[in-house]
Amino acid sequence: MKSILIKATPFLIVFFTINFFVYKTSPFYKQESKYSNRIDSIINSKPKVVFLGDSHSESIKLLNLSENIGNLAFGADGIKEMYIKTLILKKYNPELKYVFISTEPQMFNNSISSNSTFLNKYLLKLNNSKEIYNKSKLNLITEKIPLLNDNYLRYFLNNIYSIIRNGGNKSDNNTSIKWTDISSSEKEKIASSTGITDHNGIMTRDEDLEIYKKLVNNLKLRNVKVIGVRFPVNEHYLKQCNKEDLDKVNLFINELNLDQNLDYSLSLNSATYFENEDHLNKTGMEELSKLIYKDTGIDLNK
Amino acid sequence: MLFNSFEFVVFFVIVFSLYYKSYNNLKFQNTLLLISSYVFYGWWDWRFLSLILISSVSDYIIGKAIDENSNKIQRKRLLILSLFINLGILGFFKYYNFFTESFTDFIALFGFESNPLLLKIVLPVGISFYTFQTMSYTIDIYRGKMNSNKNLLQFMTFVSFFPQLVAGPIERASHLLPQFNKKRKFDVFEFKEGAKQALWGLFKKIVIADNCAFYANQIFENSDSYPGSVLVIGVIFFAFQIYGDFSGYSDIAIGISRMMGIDLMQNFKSPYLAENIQDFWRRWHISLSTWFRDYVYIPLGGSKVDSSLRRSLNIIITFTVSGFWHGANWTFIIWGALHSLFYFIQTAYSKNLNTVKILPASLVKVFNITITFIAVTFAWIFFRAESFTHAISYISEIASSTILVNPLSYFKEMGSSIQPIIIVISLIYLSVFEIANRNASYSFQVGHYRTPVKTLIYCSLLLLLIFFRATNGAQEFIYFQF
Repeated sequence: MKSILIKATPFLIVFFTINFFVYKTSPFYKQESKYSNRIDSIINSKPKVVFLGDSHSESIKLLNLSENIGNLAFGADGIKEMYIKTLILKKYNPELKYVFISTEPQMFNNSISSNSTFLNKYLLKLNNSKEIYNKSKLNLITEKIPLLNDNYLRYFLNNIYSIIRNGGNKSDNNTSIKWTDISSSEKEKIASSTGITDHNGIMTRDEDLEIYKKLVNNLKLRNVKVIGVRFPVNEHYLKQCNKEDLDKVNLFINELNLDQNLDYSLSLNSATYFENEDHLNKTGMEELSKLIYKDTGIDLNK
Repeated sequence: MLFNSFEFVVFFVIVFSLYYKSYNNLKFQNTLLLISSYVFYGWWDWRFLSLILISSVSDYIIGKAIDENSNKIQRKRLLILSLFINLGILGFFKYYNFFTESFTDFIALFGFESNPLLLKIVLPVGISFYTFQTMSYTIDIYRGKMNSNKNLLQFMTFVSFFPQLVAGPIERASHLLPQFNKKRKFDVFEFKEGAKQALWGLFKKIVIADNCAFYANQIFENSDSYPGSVLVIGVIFFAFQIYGDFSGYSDIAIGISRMMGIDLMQNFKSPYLAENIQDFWRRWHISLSTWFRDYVYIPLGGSKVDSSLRRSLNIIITFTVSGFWHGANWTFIIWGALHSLFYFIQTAYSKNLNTVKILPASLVKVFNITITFIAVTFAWIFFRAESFTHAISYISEIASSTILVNPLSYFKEMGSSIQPIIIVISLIYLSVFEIANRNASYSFQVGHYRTPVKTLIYCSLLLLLIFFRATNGAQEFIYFQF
């Protein structure tokens, strides 16, 4: 037995060295740290208003946010992640009065969020490992090891794939060009392409829909006002969600009886408001904050 | 508790450490295996432990009674009692609703209407496996092929031995039971070989099966939305999913048993390299096909009957019952019946082919393997489909002109671009070992290579396990539901 253990030792050393290196250097884990920091800051500051959603809602970070406003939205978050955050808010923020939740159609697509493992430590704290991801506590702990973390592995392999596809050039060239400098036809092409990817398999995951309902009901039970919100996007991006799917999403949202339902999807048309096809820039965000203030009386700015 | 979960790793490390420390104490070894097997099973649902307990105790008592009784009629009655208990439990949990519904549908054909009493029955994991295992024990005693076991602890350990409890191999008492009657010593060679086989099984499960499942599940669940070309790939992926899933489980079960000094029977032998349907069943789920051969086909008369019609009927019955064993659904029965049909077609075809010896033998072999794979894969459509109509619409779409549609864009929509590449590389890796070790006890046999080559192969397997594993969490094994 000893000889077997001795032979296995070099493999184990290599394995743990790689993991340590990845944990310390990978952008994935830097993102995790950013993610946790944001949640921790909300836990500490206990804002009265919180935003939940993906990168579209996250754009409120471009504003000089009032101390009453908390930004818990994060790029690539899905319904499950939003739900876990409401559980965190339930435990740590009794002052909560309003929650803005994203009702955008892409939230109801069939993709798996790459952020799910970022919430492991909170699930352990909440003693709630099985409910959402159906993972044991042991799973949540072992996912701390990068090479045993499915999300990290997906991120790593996709990076490798894009490097190979782009012939060794890792970055995407589109991102460096300003949205206003792009021709209309090119804008339409880019927006449509992203729209197709983001609106795949809308309303096909019943499990997510149940969680969404639960999320709203839990907040309502705590007398927290739930405001649905759709952020402005390029029209060609939104067009990629077919009418039938969009109707399904709208019907689902209407049946939830949210305290307010704000749809700004096509409220801002000028390219000057946009960072890209589906994200506002600072000017756009300032413009949107005025609309939100007008409709809800909530001032997002300091 | 799944073999491909961290819970199992922790569980096995604890059990093995205690087991390793107790190499001089047979009673402790068996007690430990029994307790750990019950913990392993109870992890899913402790209530169903009672069923294993009923099967174990009743067959222990009945087996002993048959052995001690010389009266033929009484021996037969005792055997019937054992079969009644085992098949009664299996029938209730697995087939009650199917028979009730089928009966209602049948009488409805004659204009009689009834409201069937359908029950919400949870199917206990692995019930078909351990039931068949204990049944073979009493049948073999009745046939005088073995003596009854006089030690209840040993017998209970035999019935519930955790590595093969929920998905086989379905062991024969004459092979497995005596192994619980002698002390197991730690054997470095067996430990290493067992660990390798378990790792190979893990590769088949988490790399091959779970990656293929990602696409096969989407395609079968939304088959109306895809063209024939995608459906063809879907069923091929399912063929490798079910093979990787089930043979992977068997390899892990056999591997970890070897690590503990217990020898389990081989359950798979590169089945997709079979040259005909008969050969396929000599290589696929061997423990079940030999069970049906010994306890159904041969008692029916097997091939030693005068009429060829009767022989054919025996084959049809055996295949169909084997299909029904898999589940209470007509699709499984059709799947079994289809195999018997293919068997007859291929027998007739090979007779004709043998008379025309134009093609070189190796080419004929490749041709036969291909034809057999196509036939087996076609039959998988019925196995995987939700219903008979689903299977028919799936086949109709394949037979339509949409078979010519480029499937690539559909795969892009289904998941990441890299996953199909991972599947292709992994299948090539699997095929290399399957072809190289077509008739070996398991395909990852590399002991004959020089050390550097061996090290390279082991490293490649570890790398595939880490980087090419499916990233959608630990998936259940398909055969648990049977």
